[in-house]
Amino acid sequence: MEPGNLLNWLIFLPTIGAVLCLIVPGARAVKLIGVITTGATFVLSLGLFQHFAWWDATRDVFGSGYGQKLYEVTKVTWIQLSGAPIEYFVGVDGLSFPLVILTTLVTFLAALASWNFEHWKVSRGIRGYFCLFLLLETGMLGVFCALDFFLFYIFWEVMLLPMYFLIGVWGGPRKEYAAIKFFIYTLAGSVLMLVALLAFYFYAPAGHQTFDLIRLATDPAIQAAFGSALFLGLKFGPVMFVLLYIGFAIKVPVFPFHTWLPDAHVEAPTPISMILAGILLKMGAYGLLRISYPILPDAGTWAAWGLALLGVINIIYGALCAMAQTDFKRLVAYSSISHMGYVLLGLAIMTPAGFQGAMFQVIAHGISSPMCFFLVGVIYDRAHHREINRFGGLWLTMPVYGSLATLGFFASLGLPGLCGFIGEFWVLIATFSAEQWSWAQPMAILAATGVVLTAGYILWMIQRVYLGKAREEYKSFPEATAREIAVLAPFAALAIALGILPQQTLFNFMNGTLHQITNLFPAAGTTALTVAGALLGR
Amino acid sequence: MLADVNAWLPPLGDLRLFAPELVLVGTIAAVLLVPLVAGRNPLLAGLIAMAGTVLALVATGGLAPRVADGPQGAFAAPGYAAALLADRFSVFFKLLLFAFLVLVIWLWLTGAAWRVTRPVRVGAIGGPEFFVLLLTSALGMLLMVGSLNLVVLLVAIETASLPSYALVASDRRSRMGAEAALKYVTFGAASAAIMVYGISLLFGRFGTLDLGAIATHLAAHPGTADTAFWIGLAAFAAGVLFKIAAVPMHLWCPDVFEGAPVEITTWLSVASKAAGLGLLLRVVTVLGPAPLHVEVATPLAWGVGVVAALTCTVGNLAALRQESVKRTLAYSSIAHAGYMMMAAAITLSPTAGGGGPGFTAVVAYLMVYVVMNLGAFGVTALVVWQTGSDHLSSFTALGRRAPWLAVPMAVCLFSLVGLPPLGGFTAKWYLLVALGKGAVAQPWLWILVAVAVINTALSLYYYVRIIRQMFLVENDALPAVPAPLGGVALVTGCAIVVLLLGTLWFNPLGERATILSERLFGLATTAERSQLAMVAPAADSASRAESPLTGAGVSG
Repeated sequence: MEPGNLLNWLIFLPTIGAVLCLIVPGARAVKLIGVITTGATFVLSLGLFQHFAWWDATRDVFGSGYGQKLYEVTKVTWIQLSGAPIEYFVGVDGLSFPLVILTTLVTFLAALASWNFEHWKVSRGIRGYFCLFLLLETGMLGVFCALDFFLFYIFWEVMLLPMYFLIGVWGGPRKEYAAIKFFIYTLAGSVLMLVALLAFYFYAPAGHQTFDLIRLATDPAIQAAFGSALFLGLKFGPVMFVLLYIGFAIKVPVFPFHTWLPDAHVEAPTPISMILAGILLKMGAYGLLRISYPILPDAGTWAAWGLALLGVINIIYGALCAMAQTDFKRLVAYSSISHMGYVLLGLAIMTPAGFQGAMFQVIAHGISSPMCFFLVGVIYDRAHHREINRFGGLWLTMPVYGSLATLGFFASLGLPGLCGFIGEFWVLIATFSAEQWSWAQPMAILAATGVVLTAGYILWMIQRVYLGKAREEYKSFPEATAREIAVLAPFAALAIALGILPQQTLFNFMNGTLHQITNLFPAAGTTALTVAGALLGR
Repeated sequence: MLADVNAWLPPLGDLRLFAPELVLVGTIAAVLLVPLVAGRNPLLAGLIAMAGTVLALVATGGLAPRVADGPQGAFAAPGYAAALLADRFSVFFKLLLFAFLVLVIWLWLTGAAWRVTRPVRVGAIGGPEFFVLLLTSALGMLLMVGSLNLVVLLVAIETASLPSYALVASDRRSRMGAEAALKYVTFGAASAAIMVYGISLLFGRFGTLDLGAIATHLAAHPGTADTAFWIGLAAFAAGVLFKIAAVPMHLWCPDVFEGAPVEITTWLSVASKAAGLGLLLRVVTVLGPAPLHVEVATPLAWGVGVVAALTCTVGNLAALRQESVKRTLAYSSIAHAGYMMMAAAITLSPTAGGGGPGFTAVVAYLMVYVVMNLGAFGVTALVVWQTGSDHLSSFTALGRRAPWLAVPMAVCLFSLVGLPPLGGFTAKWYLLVALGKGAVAQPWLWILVAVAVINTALSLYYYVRIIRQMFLVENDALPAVPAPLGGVALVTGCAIVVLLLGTLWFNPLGERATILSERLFGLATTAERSQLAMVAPAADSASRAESPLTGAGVSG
């Protein structure tokens, strides 16, 4: 553990910005505060790269075991209970590091995307908007940095309120419905997490009680107690796994808990959709990787089959739904459900390659989906509708925008050379080669059909929106502005970089930690992964 | 025997232990008598009541160190158990009730001053008799938490209830108020009758009116907890549940809360429940010590747990479809009483580490609940004064019309849901930790944990409905809602405290509650109770009267 204050600054700098938003005079100053704060947070977060310098061969970036090497750790007692204290315990490892960078980047770009706030349909309350926006960033960064389960829970809930208002006040026509649906779904999931949180504490043997997520996973006494305990007559592990899973699955979202997502996305303003798709959905996957699998590996094995099946359902069902949409934004929303299915599938098989693929897909989707939502937003700002069938030939009227759009959607589609491909491919390969599961190969084959469906709906959409003859009504559309290109360009660059150099841009930053997590499993790293693991591993 | 009692007078020292009650009685007299000289003036009456309550609060504070060393019985006639108790437990509840009373009177004064300068939208309530009734009901509640004698408890409950009936109808022009009062009286009378029946059964079975003595008897003679005992106890509990507004004695609550003036609703929503809970905790503590575990405490824990789970669920489900904000908050208060009763179920759970965590939870929960409920009702009062209605539509676009009301309201409502980082979460957290601790030995308590968290998710909907109306629904035609500064200060203060309780005061609240509850508990174990019952004869009382009331002589 290497102590440091960087994470504290990252987490609470946006809070300071939020307070400033309430007191500075003038709408423009508020916008500036918003953009500068998120920008500064992003720049600060780049400082984390010094710890993950894998290119420096003399450094041992990941340490010897799970939780052995944590960077920028702050650990102070917060609340004293009779057993162990609740701690303010933050730190990053290879699992949270890419997500922290993703969060600060997407939030910064979303703040830039909010710059045309005055032109929105609901354009009052700019102070409130940026204040909540920045509080949301505090919550998100807190979730990814917290290593104390209680703290994790607090930040998880802290995100809810800003999101509710951001959708509910500044959203589209059905904003109230979408906002309350999002709120109730997420809260229902998180209160189940609260039960698991308490059970983890009280089922640990005396003297070992803790909320420390690392210790919960690595302390043999706790693990032994969890392995043998009964919870209301049922096996402890599976019950807790299910409770946590529901909380995380709602966030991912996994079928059948996915119905809040299309509503929330469609009604949310563009920058909020970007954050929802780019970061909030990732928290479900992160929670599974940080909490469920390390602490309850046996239950993970028990649930593997079901989770993989749900992943496959997500992939195919999401893709089929996306194909049926005529609302542009809804289509992108359902494509998110489909893409997150790969994440779940990759996690379910519990192999290093599976985890790598899942995490890669998480980051790749965190880049491509905010880009897609922003692309939709750009069109919506001009046309004020999102009917796919009413568009056509936009590439001709807006060539730069059209090119970026095609790139973004191809990244989402999984075109080789772009980021989406590596994630999906890695998950499919990992699943296919997971020999310890007899069901893995059929699942992989089923999931692979999703790739075809994805190509189908995205190409069809591109054809209807961007290709064809330029329509008269859209001829007057201005080309993408400098601000819009500034938002899109980083996404585009990252999509290409991750697609061409996956190893250097992402795998090397996180594989070490993912391996350590799989090493916690009872029969760690069996056959299937030796191939892929050796290929990738550090 | 009767003659003995007649000849017996309480020693002076005992009286000094009850200075707060005496101050309150004096204030009641003053409120009644001053108009004879100064004329009928509601504001003056309010100020006198305020002054008296603050004095009583100070007196209670002065009393606190005197009872630090343990329980002190008082008003114990020779050979009898103490009729009234002054201990940390009652001092805590007295402090809570007086502090809350001060704030309620503050709210009333703000409203009264506000009405003077405005066209009256809602009938002004006031006059000396209003404060006489308010203070008398407070007196009853104080007595409720300070006794184990069944008849004293009955008198206390009636002293708390009878003025409340009249208070509910204190706005004479309000038809709803009259209807509410009638319902309240009917329910109150019925539950009192059941309660008296229970008391008579217990007296017939055990030959004593003192719960401590009953517990001692049960402990000494295993197998005596028979049907008569359980029926008697259940019937007695009906009266207690009525004050808490717990299922199935909760039906009066929504109508009364909706019909009563907001100040009274505020008062009843916290004080009546707090006193009832105090009484419940005392009863379960007395019946909970080791020899009674299997026979009495365990079934009682189940009973309290089931009632708590039902109360909480019914309250939340019924609140979902309410259009009146007062009614919504009424159901919400039923639900919160349910959460707090859950802690009472652990209190007596035999192996839960002595009941400490349960008390901690209730103490912490009550402290938070007082603040967040006062905030929510305070905003409702301010809106009702201006708009004349507590319908959900009165709150439309309040975020724009009166941000200084809407933001505190939102904070208090989210806190009532139990979302971090607000005080309501702190309270719920200590409750859940207590349940979890109890569940180490009694896994069935996990069911209560599940009920509590599922109810949290359920409750979100109706609280957010009000927030939605304030912030999400837009209506530019509606004018701004002006509000008196004193009221805004009150609700803003509540919101700030709620926020602090959820963040910086998270730990201090728990520590404070633990310290309090450690001393609260252990007050009424059977051993100590029986000691009290035996050692209270005149000789000891006389020596106590001379001693400087350190309390050491009593508990020893």
